[in-house]
Amino acid sequence: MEKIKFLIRWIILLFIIYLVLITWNSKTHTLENFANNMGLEFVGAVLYPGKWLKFQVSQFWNDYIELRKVREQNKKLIQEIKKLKIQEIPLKIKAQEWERLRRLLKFKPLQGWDFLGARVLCYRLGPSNLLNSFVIDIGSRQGVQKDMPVLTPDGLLGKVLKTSLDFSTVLLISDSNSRVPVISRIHRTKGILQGLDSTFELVVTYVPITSPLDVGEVFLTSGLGGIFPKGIPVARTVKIENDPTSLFKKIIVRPTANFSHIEEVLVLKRHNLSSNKSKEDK
Amino acid sequence: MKELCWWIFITILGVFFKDWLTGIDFFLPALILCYQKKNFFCAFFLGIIWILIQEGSGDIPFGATLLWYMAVSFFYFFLKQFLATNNLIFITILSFISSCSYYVSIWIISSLQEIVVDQYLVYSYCIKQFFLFPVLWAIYFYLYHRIISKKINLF
Repeated sequence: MEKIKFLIRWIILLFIIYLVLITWNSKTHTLENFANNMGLEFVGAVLYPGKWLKFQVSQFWNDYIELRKVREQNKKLIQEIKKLKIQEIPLKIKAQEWERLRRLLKFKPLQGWDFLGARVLCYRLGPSNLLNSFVIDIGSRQGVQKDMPVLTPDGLLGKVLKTSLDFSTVLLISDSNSRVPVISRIHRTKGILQGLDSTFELVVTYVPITSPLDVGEVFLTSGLGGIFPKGIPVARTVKIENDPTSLFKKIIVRPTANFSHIEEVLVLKRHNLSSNKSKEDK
Repeated sequence: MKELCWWIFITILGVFFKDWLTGIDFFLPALILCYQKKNFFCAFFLGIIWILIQEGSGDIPFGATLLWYMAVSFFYFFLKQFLATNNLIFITILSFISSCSYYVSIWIISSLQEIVVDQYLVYSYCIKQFFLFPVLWAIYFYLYHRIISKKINLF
């Protein structure tokens, strides 16, 4: 009987401690921030040199294997170089022409935003990772903040979920908790892109049944949410279903970026308007 | 000093294996080993560090790992009243409880924070955890006695 009483006391005590901690944390975010800075930083600090070492060892081994084949290849390559040098001359002229045209166009993508390059460190880590996310090797010290858009040259990947000093977690648009306001490129049909926990298919919701849209049309970010800049390609329409009982279309889309092989990403950072103004004043 | 090095090694190894084997917690069996060795001071600090690592590197809102570790710790001391702890049967029972506690803690946090979690992923993590928990514990137990205390009595 005493044992049961003792256990009940322990249950109540543990429950109270847990509730106090969670309530305090939900108000102040102290524990959460501390866990992010400590936990993510520790994991990054352990994994980063480990991955570097693995890369160096595998590269050294590959180099050794390759070295054996090099001699034979070398003879062939010398002959090939001679041929290529002749072929190179017209290409050089074309490259110079392209450079001139590029300067003429002065293409400025995403005005008001800066890019930060980052490498993907790891994907799902342990049982606390249940969302479609990955860790990148830049954090708040490099200027990364929560909700910053993350993309590849092919299209949008997601946004920054949380940051530590040198590492950040990115939530992919394929996660079912992710919502991105989008607009179609040709017909300018608006909708909300939602993940389905699949890397191949996503869904665009709240598109009225009367809105025009073609299969193959690309959806871009509409810029309405205030998080993503306008005009980033997100997904291509694969299937359009018109349900007569519904007011909205069911649109299945495929992301333009390849989620299965992400190695390097770009984090978009807004220009600091105040610093720009002060620079202009100077 | 030897023991400190052992726990640092387990922590670093746990982080590497977390990256390699998705969804497996490598720290909880080690925490149980710490309890079994009656090293409660060490268990307290290691528990805090491991919870912070799990919560910090995770992508779900704060609280799930804390609740899970607290539940497993409670059940460890509860079962200890009735069963001998240094055997695989006890660990298998605890492993089952750990998997159930994990599911419940994820369900509570996802419901409270209104996030959608892939249920199949949670089930798969539970199953993996159930089967690997005793294996991990046995490995830690064997290595601990081999390296630290030089006594082996697995069953």
